Amino acid sequence: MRDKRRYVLVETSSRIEDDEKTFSYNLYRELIRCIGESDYHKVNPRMMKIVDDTSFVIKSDLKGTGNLILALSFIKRLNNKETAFYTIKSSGTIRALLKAKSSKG
Amino acid sequence: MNFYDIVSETCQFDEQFAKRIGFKKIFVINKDVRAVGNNTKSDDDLDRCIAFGMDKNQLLSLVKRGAPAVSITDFYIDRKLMEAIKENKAILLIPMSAITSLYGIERSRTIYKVGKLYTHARKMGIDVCFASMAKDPLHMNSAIQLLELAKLIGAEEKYARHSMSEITKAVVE
Repeated sequence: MRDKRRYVLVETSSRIEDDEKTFSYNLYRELIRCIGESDYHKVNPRMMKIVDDTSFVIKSDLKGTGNLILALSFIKRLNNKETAFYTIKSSGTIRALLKAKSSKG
Repeated sequence: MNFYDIVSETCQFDEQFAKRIGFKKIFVINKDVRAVGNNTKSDDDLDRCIAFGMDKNQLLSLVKRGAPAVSITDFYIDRKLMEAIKENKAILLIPMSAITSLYGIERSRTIYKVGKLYTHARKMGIDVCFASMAKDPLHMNSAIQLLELAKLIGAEEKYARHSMSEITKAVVE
């Protein structure tokens, strides 16, 4: 059976300077700290796309989207650098998010 | 639905950023709405202001003098103060950056205290306003994040949406 998922467009307060793999690894590490090991599998976050130097799209299971959004609001530091994450929009498709991103600028 | 937020006067941001993170307008303390606390004189005008503080007697006196919104910064429930807030139809403001700016066990304790305060206030029929009250952009939240934080402390989504639009606007206007 296909899992129901949700894509979330996130803006960062500082530039994403690491490559996608390093950035994702650091973000997952912070997410597991905020969400907790027992609930992390319900969120099942996966980095989908780094859109530009201050925004990216992350995927989560539908039931865990709320937890993902909360965890992103708790993270204020990534790889020893002050960074805030602002959830701009969530959608069922990446295309809708990118469309919203291009219209909001 | 149009969402509004309130931030501290030290928080620097631009209008485009406010729109991008989902707010129609972000109000700034001491620009759009005044903050009053321990240094308030007895003859000060308390129209369009938010009373801040931990001293319950001070807050009680400000509410009785007509302060339209109150923020209890230590989140402890004082029955006399809560009764006064209800009688004067004041709004209880919950600063969400108090949750997002802490870490670990301190954050967990604050979530518990804020949750208790929120539940108590709603049971008494007091209107609650959720605002980030961020001191800098690092502690600001998008509208979606503020909504999830409100749900975390026990608010229903419908009420949280109403609070972030109508009640926040009422605090300022």
